[in-house]
Amino acid sequence: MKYSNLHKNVFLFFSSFLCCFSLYSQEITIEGTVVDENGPLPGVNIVVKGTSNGTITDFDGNFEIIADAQGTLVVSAIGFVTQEIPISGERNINISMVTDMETLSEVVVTALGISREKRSLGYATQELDGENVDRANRGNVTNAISGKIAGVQVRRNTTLGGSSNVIIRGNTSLTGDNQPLYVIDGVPVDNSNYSSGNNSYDYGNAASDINPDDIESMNVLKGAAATALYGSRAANGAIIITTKSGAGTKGIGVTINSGVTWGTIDRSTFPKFQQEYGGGYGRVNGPEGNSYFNMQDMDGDGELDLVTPFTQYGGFGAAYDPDLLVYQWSSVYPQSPNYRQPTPWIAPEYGPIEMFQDPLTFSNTVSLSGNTKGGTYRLSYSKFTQEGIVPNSNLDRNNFSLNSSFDLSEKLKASASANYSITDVQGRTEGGVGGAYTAIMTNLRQYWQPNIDFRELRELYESTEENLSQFPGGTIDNPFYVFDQNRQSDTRNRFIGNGSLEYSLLEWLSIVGRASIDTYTFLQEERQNTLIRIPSHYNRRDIFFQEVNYDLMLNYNKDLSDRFNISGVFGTNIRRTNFRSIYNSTNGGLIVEGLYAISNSLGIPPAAQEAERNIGVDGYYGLVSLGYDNMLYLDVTGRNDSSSTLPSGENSFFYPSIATSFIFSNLIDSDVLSFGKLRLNYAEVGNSAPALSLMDVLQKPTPFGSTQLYSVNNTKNNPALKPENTTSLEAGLETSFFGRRLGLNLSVYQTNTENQIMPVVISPTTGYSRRFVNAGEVQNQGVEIQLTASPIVTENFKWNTTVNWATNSSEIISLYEGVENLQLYATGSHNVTLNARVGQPYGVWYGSDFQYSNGQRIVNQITGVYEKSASSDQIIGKMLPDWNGGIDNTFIYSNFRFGFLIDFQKGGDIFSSDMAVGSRNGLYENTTGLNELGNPVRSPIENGGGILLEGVAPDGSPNTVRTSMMSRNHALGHPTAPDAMFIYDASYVKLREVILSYNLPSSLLSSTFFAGAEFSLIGSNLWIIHKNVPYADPEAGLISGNVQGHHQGVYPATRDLGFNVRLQF
Amino acid sequence: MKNKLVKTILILILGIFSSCTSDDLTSLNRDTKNATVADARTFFSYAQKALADNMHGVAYRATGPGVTKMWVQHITAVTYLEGATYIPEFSWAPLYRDVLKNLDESASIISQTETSNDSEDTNKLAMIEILKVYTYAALVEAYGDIPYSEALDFNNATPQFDDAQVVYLDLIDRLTTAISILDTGSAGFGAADLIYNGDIENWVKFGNSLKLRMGLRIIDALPEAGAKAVSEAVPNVITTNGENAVFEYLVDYPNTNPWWSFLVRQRLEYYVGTNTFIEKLNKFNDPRRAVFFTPVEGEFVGAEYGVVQNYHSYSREGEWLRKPDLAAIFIDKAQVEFLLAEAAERGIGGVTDPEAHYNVAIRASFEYYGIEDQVDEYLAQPSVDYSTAEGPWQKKIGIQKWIALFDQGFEAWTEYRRLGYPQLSAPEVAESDIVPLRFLYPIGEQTLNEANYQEAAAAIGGDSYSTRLFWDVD
Repeated sequence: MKYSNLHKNVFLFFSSFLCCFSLYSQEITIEGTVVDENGPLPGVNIVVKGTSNGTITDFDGNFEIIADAQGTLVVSAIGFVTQEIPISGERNINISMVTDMETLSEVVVTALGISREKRSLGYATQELDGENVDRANRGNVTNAISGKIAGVQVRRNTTLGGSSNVIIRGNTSLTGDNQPLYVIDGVPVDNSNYSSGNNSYDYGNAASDINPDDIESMNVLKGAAATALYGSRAANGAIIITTKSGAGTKGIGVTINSGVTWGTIDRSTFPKFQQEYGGGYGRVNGPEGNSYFNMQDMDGDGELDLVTPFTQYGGFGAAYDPDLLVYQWSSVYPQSPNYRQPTPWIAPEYGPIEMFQDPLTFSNTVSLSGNTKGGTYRLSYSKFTQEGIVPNSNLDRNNFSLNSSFDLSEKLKASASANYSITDVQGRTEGGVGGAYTAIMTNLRQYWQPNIDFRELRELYESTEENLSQFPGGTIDNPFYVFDQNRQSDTRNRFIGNGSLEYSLLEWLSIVGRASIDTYTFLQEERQNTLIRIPSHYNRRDIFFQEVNYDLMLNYNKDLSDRFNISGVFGTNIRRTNFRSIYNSTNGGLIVEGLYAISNSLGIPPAAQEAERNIGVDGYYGLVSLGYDNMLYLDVTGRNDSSSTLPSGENSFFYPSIATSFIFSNLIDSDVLSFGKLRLNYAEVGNSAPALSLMDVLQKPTPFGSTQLYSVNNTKNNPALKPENTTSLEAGLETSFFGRRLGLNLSVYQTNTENQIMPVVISPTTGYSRRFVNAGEVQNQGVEIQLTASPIVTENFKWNTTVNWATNSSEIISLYEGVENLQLYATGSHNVTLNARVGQPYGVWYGSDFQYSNGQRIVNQITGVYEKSASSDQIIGKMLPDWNGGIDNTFIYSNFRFGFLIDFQKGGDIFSSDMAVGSRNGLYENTTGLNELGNPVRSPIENGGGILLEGVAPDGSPNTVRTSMMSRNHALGHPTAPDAMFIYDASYVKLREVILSYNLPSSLLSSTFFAGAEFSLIGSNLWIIHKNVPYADPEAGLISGNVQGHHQGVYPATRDLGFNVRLQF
Repeated sequence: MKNKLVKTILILILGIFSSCTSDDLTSLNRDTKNATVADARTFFSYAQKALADNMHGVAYRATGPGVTKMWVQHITAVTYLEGATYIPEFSWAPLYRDVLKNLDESASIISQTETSNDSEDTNKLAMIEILKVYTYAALVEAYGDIPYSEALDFNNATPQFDDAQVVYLDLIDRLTTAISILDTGSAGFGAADLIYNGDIENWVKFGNSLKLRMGLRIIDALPEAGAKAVSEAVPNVITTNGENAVFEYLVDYPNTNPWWSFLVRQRLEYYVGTNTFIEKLNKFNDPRRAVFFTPVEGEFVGAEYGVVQNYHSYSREGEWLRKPDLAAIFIDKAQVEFLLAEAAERGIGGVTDPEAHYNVAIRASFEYYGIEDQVDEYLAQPSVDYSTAEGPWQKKIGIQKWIALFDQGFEAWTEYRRLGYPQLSAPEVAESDIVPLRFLYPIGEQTLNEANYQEAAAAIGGDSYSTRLFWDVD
């Protein structure tokens, strides 16, 4: 039996301590200097081997250490080869460090799967290793980047399997896709979002099929120069994913990675409903119209009884009073224990939070990898199962993957990878207001009665399985009925694979042929048992997607002289994308209840809606990279695309890029500066139109009986579209100091996207709502900073920290001729819209604003409410943040590893329909409590109730007019208050990730058949340290895409705590 | 051997590339699932339905003509008061984009297609023209100045607004021409005509009735032009309920009446009758109240307009309005006869005997609802009898017309604005001190067509509810 390292260290620590006393005679003081080729080296670690006794060299490279005369010094510094120097009784030791070429020539995977030395790149990339991807982010791989990569903004939806929105360096396209391109092992993979709108289910983004456990590394290519070889589709940046392979495995390696995660609702992201007043619209009921309650003789005693106004959604009913006995909602149902029973008028013991469950997530991966003669392979199977926070919702994903490569001959190498995934989800929740105002969370946050007890609601549903509504006679369904009986489900079967052959023609020249495919079928089924507003219903959408890429590349890499090197690629890419879908639905109910099939439609089902879109792009490209003396690099690329989606004869376009890097540290002799590089690049990227945007087609409404209808499409297409064009200019500085203990990576950039192809909203007086045009220019400018530091490095303890920070500011330079504003989104029941306005950043909220006098809000001196601007086109907020970033810390002590990530965002605005309407209906605490006079705000003004809004009279004098809070149309709710009242700053600081892991020491494992064992405790989203939007996660949204920051029935976020075991054999 | 393998593979790869590049790339960009052309009839049918849906739609918010059912205080919302209290959210997209654009498309297909039957085409074009006039007239009556001469052209994203009066007179001229070219000896759209099933004679009557209405609408502002239109129209107007211009919905969703979708399909408990209206019906013992509303404990009870109330305490829509195939009325005999009564009072168009027309109008309304057996008793009441009813002719006609135009909110509201009866007032808490005299321009125009919007707002005297439109002479 051997001691664990921990035990050994503790033992050694004490023993060395004891040595000072008992074995003093053997200790000597050693002095010395550490140098590298440029001179003295500060910050070098010197540790006496086998002890925790260590020191660090000073600015002149000098050190002093007490050690056993027969001991050994371990000398290490980042970027240098670690050395062990026997002391052998020497009291003066000078050490010469050797540059570790492996770390300096760090290789990264760039566009088209080309591996490049990082130092030679003239553009910014930032890498994330697999360790960082697969621990805490198993649901959706895109979330792994959050806070870890400067200049990337990730916004995740809080629903099960919901989509994540990833924006790199700002929104460049006004109305098009702004998401980056995802590439796995050279295969571009689809990341479509299939939500049919904000009022439906969020079907997630397709990149979530990627299994985080299979990822070796993710490299984020940020600018157009980095992605120039991919052309148009990577104009928003690219995320290059390399999967794990068998390379480097000795023999056969088996890894088992198992985790379980327990989620709990983060209560700060869920409303605190007021606990003082029950349901109703105020004193409008009863025979005289002056009672909070309906009055009916319920027990037949001839006297009128109090009855909750069942169909009034809101919390302006009577104040709770346990002495009041009221016939409440459940008293009308014979199935309820309270049938025909009045119950005390009190706040419910179990509020809406009772609706949720604590979701469990299980994740298991088994992988087998290895090397055989001339080949490597990795085989893995992964199962991921996640529960949602509402009943009957879960996500199940199975991934099978194979990655292999073999040398067929000395010159010919074949490699292939295949990944098959099956993702099944059921019970996604409806977003927005739902298909027919049926979305539960919207009803709960905006239209509810505070007196409803959720335990009672659940029990009544569970005992009857009927839609016994908490609003008898109303239009809102029992949420437990909806969760249980409305089984949305979807399943996606996906294959991603490629095969390639590489043949070395010459030592410096090889040819690669590669065929790759990404294809899936996606079945979405929505089932609805009879709801109050709609009869039972079934619809299905069958989607088929396929993208095939053929690449032929000639790679070359030749040293022209001792100092000159030329390398690069010439290639061609053929891409064919095929999308087909068909949508069918029932009409007017189902014949046999519970049978969800189109043929079971009560009415004649509407005609199926079919779609087919094919895209073809043929591209030719070249990269010439010149290197001089490992110091100066120049990349020139050019690509020509012919696209099927542009007019014939004008569908070919060329775009170039040029990037340089200069490693100036090679010229500077400095102790402080370890590495220094300047980058500069310029790139142009062309982009073609979406499929089918040239020709007009007709809309096909449901026939009117036997009369056929056609109508002109609301969008006017344009047969004369030209490619759009993005130009980007980027400069950067990469430096590291003190033996690479401190690093700074800085980028500044400007991107202009012109001639945007977009469906501009035009006045309907033109006969159309939108028109496809080439117009508009958006400019994005930004700064990204990445700071890395290793403040403490000893043999046993390391502290690494990375700070990412980025700011991006966008400006709409121009829009369509004569048009100053482009509406991106309308929120629906409010006059609040999201817009791109000339001279403003992308995405400004329009709505009614307060009126101001000398910066003070003006209060109407008759009604006491805030004066609103006359028009709704006031800018009341902006969607995008000012800056965001993250601080990632890792502490390694012996075999323990502790890390935490804090990420943050400053600025950005949310418009909350939930707060606007929920406040209106008196559901929250802002409509209750006592006013500054100490009286209930709900009391009549004449009794000292109401509130006095902070603000001024139109003449500038302080406001003295109180306003009533007795009914739904009050000063703090929509639509009486200006829309600006419901704009919230989306800033946040979150403790995103905390990880504590322990690796069993190899000494302990050597006698077992384990090659490695790691245990981790992982916390995700544990704490929203700071936020401004009440009752919701500022990141919550409707779906991914260009429209973010509208809160309409958003689900609460969860705090996730997980335990993970990774075993290697 | 090995070299052979390599060569085979390379040839295979190159083969893939050459085969892929040979096809014509842009041929991929074809929509194989949607039509690019369709028969002119399909657009005409669609436009008729879109017009009925929009003019008679139900909206608790003030998005379009549907809200006028509340503004004229036949009904009121009891919970969601946005529309009832005039919070503006107007859109004219349904009328311009769905109705006018599709009428335009239908006409342009007919004009471009060579057919053997010119007079049939002429009839179709005339029918399209009549519906266009109907739609534009409603837009002018709702908003005032509107995009007209430059409208419906996607190449002009910012059409100018034309003067309401100029537009209206042009519309009357276009209507006159359209009526004159209708040839009753030829066919029209046939079954694709969802209003008259292709009956050209009825289209002549619809055209003239519309012209009569438009003539009287401007009679106070432009007496000569108004009287001329009335004179020309009078001889050939709708004379029976069978000739009414109505859009008959079907029993199957989604081709059902919007009311049914709202009240029955979605079970929304939003509206009840107002006390203003129901008290009037009660006062006249009007048997139509049992058609319009359901009693509460045997009584017809209306709610105060524009305040939050308990839905179940008041009379809500009757079974008549809850039929899925309830027809939407564009113009009917009752309205025509009230217009003739007014022409008689004004002594124009050679029309005489206002009382006779007044009685025929009320009879027509009763007949429409299938209760003509009760009409004599009704007319015999002094409060209804034309000779003894209260007030000047404007009031006598105005009140009875207001009742007869139930469920035709837009017409009821427009006639209320023109005749000044009944006298209605705005609710205490509302966006306007008076019942609005017009719609506010759609919010989108403030940003999409800003300069022209500003100019038009200035030209009509401000984009506000209290701006009187040119024909609405106080």
